[in-house]
Amino acid sequence: MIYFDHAATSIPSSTVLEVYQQVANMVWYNPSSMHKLGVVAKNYIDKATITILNTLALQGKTIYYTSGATEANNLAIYGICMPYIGKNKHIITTQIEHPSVYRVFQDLEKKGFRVTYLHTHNGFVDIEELKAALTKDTILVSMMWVNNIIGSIQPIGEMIQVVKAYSHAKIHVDAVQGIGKMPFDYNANEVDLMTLTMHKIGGLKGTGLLIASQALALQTMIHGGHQQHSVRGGTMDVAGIVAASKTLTLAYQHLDAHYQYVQNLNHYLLERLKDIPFVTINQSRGKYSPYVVSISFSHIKGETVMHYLEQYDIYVGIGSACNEKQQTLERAIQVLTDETWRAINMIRISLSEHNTTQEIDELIVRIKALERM
Amino acid sequence: MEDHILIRYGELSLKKSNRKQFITKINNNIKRALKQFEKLTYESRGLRFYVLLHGEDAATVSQLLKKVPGIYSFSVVSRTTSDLSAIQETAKMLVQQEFKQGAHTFKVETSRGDKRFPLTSLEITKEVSRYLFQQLPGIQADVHHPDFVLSLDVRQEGTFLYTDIQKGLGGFPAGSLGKTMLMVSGGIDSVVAGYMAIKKGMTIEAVHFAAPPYTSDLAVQKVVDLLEKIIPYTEYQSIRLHIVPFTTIQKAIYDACREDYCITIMRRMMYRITERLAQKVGALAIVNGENVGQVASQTLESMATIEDVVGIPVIRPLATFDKQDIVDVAKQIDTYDISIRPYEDCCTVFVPKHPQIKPSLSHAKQEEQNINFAEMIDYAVEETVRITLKKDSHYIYNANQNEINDDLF
Repeated sequence: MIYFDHAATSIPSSTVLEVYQQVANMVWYNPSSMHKLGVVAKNYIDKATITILNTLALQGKTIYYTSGATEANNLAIYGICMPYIGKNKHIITTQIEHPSVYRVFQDLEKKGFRVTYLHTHNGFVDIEELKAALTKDTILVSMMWVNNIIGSIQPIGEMIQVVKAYSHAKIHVDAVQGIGKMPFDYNANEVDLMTLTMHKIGGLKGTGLLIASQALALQTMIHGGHQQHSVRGGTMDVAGIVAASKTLTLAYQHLDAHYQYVQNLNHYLLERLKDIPFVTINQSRGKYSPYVVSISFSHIKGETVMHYLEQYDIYVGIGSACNEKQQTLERAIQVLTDETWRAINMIRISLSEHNTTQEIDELIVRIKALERM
Repeated sequence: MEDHILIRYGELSLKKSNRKQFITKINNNIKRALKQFEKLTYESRGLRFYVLLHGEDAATVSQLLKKVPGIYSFSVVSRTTSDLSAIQETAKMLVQQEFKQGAHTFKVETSRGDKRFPLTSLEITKEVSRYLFQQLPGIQADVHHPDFVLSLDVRQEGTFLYTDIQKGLGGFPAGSLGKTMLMVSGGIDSVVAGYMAIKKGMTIEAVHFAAPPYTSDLAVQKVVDLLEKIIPYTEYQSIRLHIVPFTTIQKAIYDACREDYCITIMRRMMYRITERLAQKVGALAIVNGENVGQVASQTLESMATIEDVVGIPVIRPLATFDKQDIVDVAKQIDTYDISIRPYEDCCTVFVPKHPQIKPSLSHAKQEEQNINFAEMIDYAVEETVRITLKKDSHYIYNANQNEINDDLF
C-alpha cells in the first residue's frame, strides 16, 4: 500500500497503541471515583496533562479532552459565544475553515450573531481586512493555522497582534494540521483556545484536545457530571488521554527531523509534478505546509483519479465529492481553487515521514499515464 | 509598540534604611516569577523597574506580575526617545488603539523627570494634545472624566507612554521578613492566611496533620493543590510541606481525655509539633487561619489555652475577618473550589458533640496527664514527611501507591 492521505488520518504508532492497551488494561478505574483507584486514574490524567503542556511549552493552560477536533472546535466557539446570544455581538472567522468551525459560525449567524467571513487569496487571509473588521463588539476570532485542503499557513502571529491591539476578542486557533508537524511560528501562549487532534499525527481516533487559557469561562456544551470543571461531562478516557500524551511526546521528539524529511519529499514531488502539462499545482506564492500538496488535472475529475490510483493500491485524498445533480461544491475548496474545474479536478497528496521517494516515483508514473484517459 | 512594563514599588519605599535590600529582593523575585519568559530583559532605575518584553505577551506577563508581593502598580508602556515628534507619533498610535477598543474621551498627563527636556510638562501636554486633535479628527478630550488617561513620562532614559495603570498586589517583597510555619488543614481559611503572610513578606513552610486511615490521601492532595495555588506569590516559587503522621496522637486523645476537651488538647498537640518543626527549619513564628469566634477552638479562651504550649509568636492574619471576606480572598486566589472538596481532615474526623468553648488551662493540663504524649510527639516529628512543591510541576501525592511509569507518557 502506498498511502498519501495522511491529512485525513495517519498510521497509528505502535508505541501509542501499546500505551493505550497497557493503560486501558491496568488503569480502567473511573477517575472521578473518590476511592483510591479513582485517585490513581486521576493521577494518570494529571500526569498526561502536565506532560502535554510541557511538550507544547504551554504550562499554565487548561486542557479539555474531547472526542475529537470537531467537538473541540464546537466547544471552543459555542463555549465562548453562547452566553452572548441575543446581545448583538460580532464574531470573525475565514472562508476556508474546516466545517466543524464554519458550520458553527453559520449556526451562530442564524442565532443572531453578526459574522464576518474573511476572504482569502491563494488560501491566505489579509490581515488588513481583519483589522478593518474588528470592532469593540467582536468577541471571538477563529482562524485555522494550516489549511487542510491546500496547506496554506495563516499568519497567526500577526493575527494575534492585531486582535489584541484592536479588540478584546478571544482567539481560537484550529491547529489540527500543524501541531506535531511543524514548530509554532507564533506565540501559542497568546492563543486563548487551541484545537488539536491526535489521529493526524500517529495517535488514535477518539481523542481531541481543547487547550484553553486558565482564566477563560466556557459554557458547558455536554451536560453531565462534574468532570473537566463541569464544562464537558462524561467519564474521562484515561487510556486515550495517556496515549495522547505519548503521541505528542513522540511527535515532538522527531519534529525537526520529520519536518526536514517531509520537506525534501515535498520538493522531490513538486519537481516532478511541475513538468506534467495537464497538472496544475494549487499552491503559488506564500507559506505552505510541506505535508500537503494539492493539484488539479485539466481533464479528469479528482474522484476519478482517486479511484484510478486505488487500483494500484495508491491512496490520495480529493477535495470534495462533487454532487453532480446539485452542482454544489465544498465552499472552502471553491474558494481555495478559484475556478470550479480546479475544484472538481483536484486531488490532495498528503505526506508523512512514512513516505519515500520510491513511492513518489510510482505515483508520478501512474499520474503521467493519465494523459491518455 | 507596547514593549515595556513599568513597575512601581509600594510600601517598601517607606522603609528608608532597608530600601536597598528590599529593592534587590523584589527585583530578584520579579525575575524568578517571570523566568518562563526567556526573552525578557530587565532594567532597574531607583524606585522603578522595567521589564523589556522583546515580543513576549504583555497580558500573560501582567498576569504573573499581579502575583508578586511588593509591587504597588505597573503599566504596559511604549518607550520612545525623548523627542517631541517621536512622542507624538507613539501617542497617536496608543490613542488610536484605545478609541478602536471603544473609548470615547481622553486626556493627556505629563510628568517630566528629565528637566533638560526643553518644554515644561504643561507645554508637552499641549503639544501632544494639539497633534492628536489634528491627526485623529473626531477624538474628544475630557479633563474631568476621561475614558482613559494618556500618561507621558519624560525621563532621562527615554519617554514612556501608557494608557492604563494596573494595581499590583501591594505588601512587602516575598521572603524579606523571615520564615514562619503555616498550619494548613485543607479548609478555606488556612491557605488564605498563608497567602496573606507571603504577601506581607514572610516565607512559609506548611504543616499538615494527616491521620490515615481516618483521613485519605485525597485530603493531603487537596492541601498540595491548595498550596500550589499560592506558589506564584512566593520568593522562590516553591513551598515546602511537612506532613505529620497524627493518627496515634489523635487516637490516644480520644481514648483517654474528656470528650469536650479533645479538640483543645488536639490543638495543643498540633501547636507543640509545629513549634518543634519550626525549630528544625529556623522558623520564627506560627501562622494559621484562626478567626476569633468562628468555632469552639477559636474563642479567646480556647486560643489562650492552646497557645500556652508554645513560646514563639502565633500570627493570625484572619483573626478579625468576616467569613465572607475570607471567601472572597479564597476566590480571588482560586483556592475556594479546592477548599470545598468534601474530604475529611484531622479537624473534622473526631468532632465532639459539645466541645468546650471556654476551656481552662488547668483542666487541659490535667487531661493531658492521661497520655504519655512526649514520646508520641517525638515520633510524629521524627516521622514527618517533607515534600517541596514547585511552580509548573504538579505534585501527585500517593504515598502508598506504585509510582507511575514515566515511559507511558
